[in-house]
Amino acid sequence: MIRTENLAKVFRADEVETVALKDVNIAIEEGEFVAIMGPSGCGKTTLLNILGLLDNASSGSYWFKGKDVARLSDYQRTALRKGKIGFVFQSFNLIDELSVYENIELPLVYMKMKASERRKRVNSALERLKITHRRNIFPRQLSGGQQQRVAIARAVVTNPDLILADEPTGNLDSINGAEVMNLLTELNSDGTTIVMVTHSASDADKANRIIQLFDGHVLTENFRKAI
Amino acid sequence: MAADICIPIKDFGKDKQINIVIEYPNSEKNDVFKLEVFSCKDGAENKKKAEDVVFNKLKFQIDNYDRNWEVVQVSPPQGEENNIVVLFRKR
Ligand SMILES: Nc1ncnc2c1ncn2[C@@H]1O[C@H](COP(=O)(O)OP(=O)(O)OP(=O)(O)O)[C@@H](O)[C@H]1O
Ligand SMILES: [Mg+2]
Repeated sequence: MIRTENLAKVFRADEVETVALKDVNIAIEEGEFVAIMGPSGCGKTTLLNILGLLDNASSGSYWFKGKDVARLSDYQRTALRKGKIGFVFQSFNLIDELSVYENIELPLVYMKMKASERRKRVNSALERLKITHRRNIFPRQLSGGQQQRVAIARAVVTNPDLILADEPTGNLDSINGAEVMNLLTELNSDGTTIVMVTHSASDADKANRIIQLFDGHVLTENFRKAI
Repeated sequence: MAADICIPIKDFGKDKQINIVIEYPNSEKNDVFKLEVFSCKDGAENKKKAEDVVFNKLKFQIDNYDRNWEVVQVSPPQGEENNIVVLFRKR
C-alpha cells in the first residue's frame, strides 16, 4: 500500500535548514498495523504528514497504492487522500461549533456525498463507535476519551483504506488511552491499515511492526507478529 | 491490559547495564528488559554531518547487538558524549 525510496524532507526557514527526514525506505502492506516511535523531533509527524499526503517530500519517491505521489500539487494530493485516508490527532481536532453528528459528517460533505448516503454513513459510524446517544452534543461537553472516539468516528466514516494516527492516546489517561487502542485494534482486524505514531511502548505493542526513527532516519524495524 | 509505568533508577550512567524483569502472577513467562547506554560522540564540526555521525554510530552498535534483544525505546542524545539510552526487550 505504501512504499518509499530514499524519502527526504528538508525544512527551510530564515536561512535555517532542518533535515527532518533522510533516506527513509519503508514498505507497508495492506492490513498492517505499524507503530512509529522515536525521540521527540526525530521526524515522526513529518513522516506521517507525507504518508498521509498532507505534505510533499523534498526528494525521494513515494508510492501510495501503486501510484507515484511524491511530486503532486496541493490540489492533486487533496483529491487523492479524500475518502481514502483518515486522520486521528493527539489533540482530537474537532470543531467546537459543530455537534458530534456534524463533526463526523464533515468529511462526507467535503466529498460532496448525497445527503441520504451521508446520513446512512454517519449513523453507522456512530453505531460502530457506540456514540449514537451523543450525536447532538458538542465537543466541549465530552471528556477527552469521548472526543477521541468522535475523532475516530470521523476518521472511519469515509471507509478509508488507511488510518494515520499521531499520538492518539497522548492526551488521554491510561483507561481512555486503552480504549482508543482497542478501537484502533478493532479497526485493524476489520482490515483497515493503520500507521500510528506513539511514545508509549505498550501502545506500540498492539502493532504488528514497530519502526524506530532517530534523527530522521529509520533506526530499526521490529516485526512483532504476523498480520 | 498492558501499561507503561515509570520506575526511578538510581545511579545509572555510562558503562552500566540494568536488567528489569517483569514477573506476571499467573504466567510462567517473564518479560525481560535491559537498559544500556551507547556513547555516540560525534566530533564533527558541521551540524548536519554531526547528526549523521550520531545516527551511524548508534545504528552500527544496534545492528551488531545480540539478536536476542529488540529495541523498545531510544532516548535523545544526552551530554557532551552524546549518550543514548536504549531500552531492549528479550525476544
Ligand atoms: N513546518 C516546519 N518548519 C520547520 N521545521 C519543522 C517544521 N515541522 C517540523 N520541523 C522540524 O523537523 C524536525 C522533525 O519534526 P517532527 O514534528 O516531525 O518531530 P516528531 O518526531 O513528530 O517530534 P514529537 O515527538 O515532539 O512530536 C524537528 O527538528 C522540527 O523542528
Ligand atoms: Mg510529532
